[in-house]
This record gives sequence, structure tokens and C-alpha cells, in this order.
Amino acid sequence: MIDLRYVKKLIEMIDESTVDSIEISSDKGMKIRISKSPQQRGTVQVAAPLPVPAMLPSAVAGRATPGEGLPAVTEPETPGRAEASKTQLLEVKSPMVGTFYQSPEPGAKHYVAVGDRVSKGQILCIIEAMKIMNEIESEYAGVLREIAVQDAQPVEYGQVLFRIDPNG
Amino acid sequence: MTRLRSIVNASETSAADSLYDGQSAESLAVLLSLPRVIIFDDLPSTLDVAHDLGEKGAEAGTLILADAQSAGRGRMGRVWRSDPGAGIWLTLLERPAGDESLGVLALRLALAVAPALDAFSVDPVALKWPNDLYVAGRKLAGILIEARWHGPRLDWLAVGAGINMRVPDGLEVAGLADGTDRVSVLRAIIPALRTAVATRGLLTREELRRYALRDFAARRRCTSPAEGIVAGIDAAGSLLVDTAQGRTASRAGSLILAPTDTHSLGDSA
Repeated sequence: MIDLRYVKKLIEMIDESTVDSIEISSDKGMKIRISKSPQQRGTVQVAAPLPVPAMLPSAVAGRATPGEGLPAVTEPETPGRAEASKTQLLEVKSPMVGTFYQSPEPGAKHYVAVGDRVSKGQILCIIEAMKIMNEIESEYAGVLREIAVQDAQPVEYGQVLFRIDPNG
Repeated sequence: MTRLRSIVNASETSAADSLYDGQSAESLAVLLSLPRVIIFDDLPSTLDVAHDLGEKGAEAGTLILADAQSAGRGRMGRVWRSDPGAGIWLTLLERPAGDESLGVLALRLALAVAPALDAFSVDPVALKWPNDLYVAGRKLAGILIEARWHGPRLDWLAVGAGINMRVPDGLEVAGLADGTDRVSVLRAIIPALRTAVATRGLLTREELRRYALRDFAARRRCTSPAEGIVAGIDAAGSLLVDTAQGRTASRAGSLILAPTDTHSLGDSA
């Protein structure tokens, strides 16, 4: 028998923590899985047009066939090849509401520029939120394909800040 | 923010012999109940050292002290003047959860430090939104918080604070009472800072009441972040301003008081 108070407590704990999901199994065969998805919290997602059509993420491109205005893909498409040639861009999202800055201080060199190779743990930007300067590290290594926000603009929780090509 | 790995490494070696008003790093760690204290005679910024140590896995509660900083910083590239022995220039490394409490942390830290500094100040310490500390209309101390995020996870906080012990030449700022010693001030403010970082949730009714009692700007006319009369703050730490169009709540920007109502240097951190 599942104790609903126990489940409620678990949900509250997950809700307050940075953990995204938890799965607990008991030796009596009981299994509880709780997960939260930041994308489902009704946050604002900005659908900014991508400046490099060839690098459209697969979710947007749908199929890896060359579309109008896209550079021709020379390799013949087999299902396996198509999967491999899809350029899956990884998104770095804002962990908070705040103001996006590309450099540590006004007039200073930007942390990163489109085309830069970035490494995991490299600082990409600052988001100032309630007077805390939040330095955002890259979770991924790859080539920076897009900076999705203008300098000094407000950003929402979960908003895409950068798109990185891990195979670039 | 330049990382100064080589400087840190070199200084950590020499820092072993450095004293802070006669105290060794080890004795300060005991006095302040901290896992580790590192003392520098002179360095660019204690914040940089904190980030370096954060990357290396330093424990929450690690304190970096400097007698002088050559590149002490305030918000958005402003310089924080940190002359030798003229103040307390510190950064405290902490690793709290990255939850809604962070939204009010800047205010909560100032609110915690103000009463701790009252004992060393000729006049009561006042607050200017969000977290500047003033005495008799002049800035006494500033707190700058830099957080490092790895994706959605908060790795660490570097809480930098600059407290003027005496007024540097040519600056219209405030200092603490003559004869105050820095170690006594540290013993008062470090527990206050750590408690504030550990406190979860938005500002409580009691915290709002205490903030209102020290609010430097309350009922004064301001020109930024909105034009009107400062009404106070809310539980989320937003600045409330009564404008011609009604009450606004601001979470970004700087509070600038109208010229006739200010005796201060304006916003800085």
C-alpha cells in the first residue's frame, strides 16, 4: 500500500530541489517515479529564427533533406546516413529570470562569439538577477552556432541562450 | 573576469605566513568557525580566488581575506577601492541550493550585516535597495555576489564584501568608528552572512519589517528604476515605487534618488 503522504512529501522535496526526477523501488516490488520537466512550467520559449539554415536542429528541420535555400547535401541519403548527418544542436537554457550579458562588464570582450569552439565548463555569459551576477557555464563541448539573445536583454526561465554543435 | 590560477597558487604558498591584524589564517578559522581562511597581503580581487577555489572543490565557508586589492570590483565593472589596511576586503565561498532564496539573497545579506555593523558605527547603518549599506548618507559597505552555474545547477556562490574601516582620501564614503579592529568586525559579520546564505524562502514579514526600519530611500523621490516615491520592498525583494500611473515593482536596474533627495554617490555595489 502506497502512503500518499510519503508520495506528497517526495513531490515537495523534488519540487524544491534541483533534481529533475527520482525513482524509488522497494523490496516489496513497489516502484515510484517522479519527474519534473522545466519546459512544462509555462515558461516563455523564444522561437528565434536561426541564422544558419544548414544548422537547423533536427527537431525544427524535421528531415535531413535539403530544403529550399539550404545548401545541397551531396551524400546519398540512406536511413543510417540521414541519422548521422542530422546536426543536432544542443541548447543552453537560462536557469533563471534576469538580464543577459555577453561580457563581464560593459565594453569588455565577449565571453564567446558564434563560430568559437567552446569547452565544457567554459563561461558563456552572465545573467544578472536581483544583483547576483550569475556566470553560466557550458554544459557541452562543441562549436557555438548561435547566440539566441541580444546583449543586455531580459531572459526568462528556460529560454534558449545558446545553440552548440557537439559535432562541429 | 580573469582567472588568476598561477597567482593563486603562488600566493597560497606565501599566504601561509601572512597575518591579518596579528592573526594567522588557522587561528582566524578557529575564531570564525570556518573550514578554511586564506589571507593575502595584496591581490587583484578576492572574488577571483574564490572562483578558482570553487572550481577546485573548496568547501562551503572558505573565506578569502586581503589586506589590499588592486582590482576590487563592484557591479558592472565599477572599481571598488581597496587600499592596504583601509577596510575589510573579503569573499566567502558558499554552496547553497539554487532555489528561489537566491532572488532575495542580496537583500538578506545586507539585512544581516547591517545590525552586525551597528556596534562598530557611530551612526546606525541604513540600507539602500537592494543591498548597499550606508551611514549618515554615505556608503559604508557593498556586497557583490557572483554565482557559477553548470547548466541548471548552482555550483557555488562567491559573496564578496567591501567594508570601509576608514575613509580613503578623496572619496565621499563612510567608515567605521575609530579604533575598530577588523577581527572583531569579522567575528560579527561572518556568522551573519552564513546564516543569511543558509536561510531558505522569500523574505519573511519580520525581515520586511527590519528592512523598512533601515530603508535609506523610503518615502524619497527617485528617478530610476521608475519615477516616483519609493514605497519600500516586497517579499520577493522587488523595489516598490509609487508613480503617477500607480505602484510599480522593479527587480532590475538601479535605484537613483532625485538630486534634491540624495546625499550619496548613487548606485554601486
